[in-house]
Amino acid sequence: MSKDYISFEFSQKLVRLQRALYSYILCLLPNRTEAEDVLQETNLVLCRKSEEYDETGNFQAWAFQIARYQVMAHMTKARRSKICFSNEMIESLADEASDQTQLKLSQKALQLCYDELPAHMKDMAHLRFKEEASLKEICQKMGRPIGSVSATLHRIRKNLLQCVRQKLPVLELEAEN
Amino acid sequence: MHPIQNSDEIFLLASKVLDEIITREEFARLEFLLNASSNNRKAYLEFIQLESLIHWEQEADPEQIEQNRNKIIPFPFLPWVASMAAVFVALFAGWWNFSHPSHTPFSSEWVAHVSLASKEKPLASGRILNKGLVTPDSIPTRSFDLLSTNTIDEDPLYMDRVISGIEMLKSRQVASEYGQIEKVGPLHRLSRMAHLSTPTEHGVLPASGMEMMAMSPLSVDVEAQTASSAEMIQILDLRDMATNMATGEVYLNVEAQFNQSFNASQEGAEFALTFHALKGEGRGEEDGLGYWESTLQCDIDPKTWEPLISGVSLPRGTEFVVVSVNIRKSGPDALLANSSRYYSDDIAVSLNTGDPSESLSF
Repeated sequence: MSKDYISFEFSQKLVRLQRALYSYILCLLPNRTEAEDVLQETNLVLCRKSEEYDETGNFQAWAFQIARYQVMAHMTKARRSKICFSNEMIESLADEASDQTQLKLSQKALQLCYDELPAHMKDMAHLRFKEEASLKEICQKMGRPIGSVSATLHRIRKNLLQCVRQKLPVLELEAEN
Repeated sequence: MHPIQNSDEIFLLASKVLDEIITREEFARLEFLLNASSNNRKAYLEFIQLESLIHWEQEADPEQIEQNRNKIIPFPFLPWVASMAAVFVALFAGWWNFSHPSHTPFSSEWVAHVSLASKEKPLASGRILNKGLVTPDSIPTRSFDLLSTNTIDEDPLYMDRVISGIEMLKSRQVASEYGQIEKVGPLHRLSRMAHLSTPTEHGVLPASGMEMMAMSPLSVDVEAQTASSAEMIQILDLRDMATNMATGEVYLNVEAQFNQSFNASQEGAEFALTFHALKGEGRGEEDGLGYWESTLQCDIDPKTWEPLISGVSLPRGTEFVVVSVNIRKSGPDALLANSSRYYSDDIAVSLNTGDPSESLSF
């Protein structure tokens, strides 16, 4: 059994990277529950390998590489039973998903946009994104058919995306100033 | 099938993937579109990244919170205090090494090991039922179990500290890196409270006054996904209360408050106040008279301090009582346990005897 001390600095780096790491994993594995599982597995591997990390190196690049391997390993296990991307597609997406520079500003924009959602959308968004209810549970709670719930969730995502796109340039200007 | 020029279809298919209602045919279409062009992949990634942020949107941004706190909370004397503490420890280490050649080897390597208090692990390996524990009605207790009557031999570093602390009490040595001896009424105690003292840090304000105690970082067991630390706070020397100890009518009460700095965990750490009742030097099994702990699940809000009040009836013959704070985390959160710092404040100890003139609070 290894009993390793993980430094405060390493923990801080890992904590700061959690949002980007989750985003990266979700891009390669577009299922929230499975992405969270892989995030935990990735954290575990990163901690196990913390002594191998070169402090002068790029922590994010190192962590993303390990996350990519973890997604691949997860896919290998899941491929027979679940719908998932091919290894080639994961490699391709992984290369393009590494740019997470806008994440902080996007998060800020999203918080503003989330507050601007119409009430009926906010209720559903709350159920899906905060309470992590399944579509079936939302259908039961809101008394709506699954097709309607699915369509509304899609509109919520599109609305938020358009809103974030509009707000980002303003926030970028503010950040520069 | 042809790749589309706008991203609507990709968004729709990505939405279905996220809601787990996509068919195999639709998924094949999505993969085809993503293979077809870099723009399609960019659109997909933008959409999915937003989904990940919606999920995180509900959580506070740890970095932002830390930055905000750092803006409003000054750290005026910390470098000076740290430098002085380092000099103090180094001087005592040198003095101790020189004046105690027959003691545990005090090489520079050993000194470094002592400073890494995170290597400690909790003393308790398992709980047994609360046997024969008697506390007065007036003492509120929580989760209070008698754990073991063995000596504290599970952690060499901890045991070394305790044994050295008891030796200090016996020789009335005033201070060392183990702590300092204070006289409280008829008793002496070794206290580490000054050694662990820190002003406001990591966004945590002391529960009262200007200082609080910072616990050592936790030792993380990656495979077991557990993290823990044990911090000896003080050792009470009860030998001068021999009359009451002989009749077993001494009650020890300890109150303390606990807190932790912000981190990304969903759950706070478990804090435990632990007591070891010892006779002699605590070296052999026969020297351990009792071990108790009282636990508290801390919340994750650094603005609030959680109080814990414990009491125990000390066994007859108790000569020394070791009061410690244990901290534990388990599960995936344990891996990031040291992204938080852990604190204790307002530790108040009282001893109640049948003789009001001998009751002490300190």
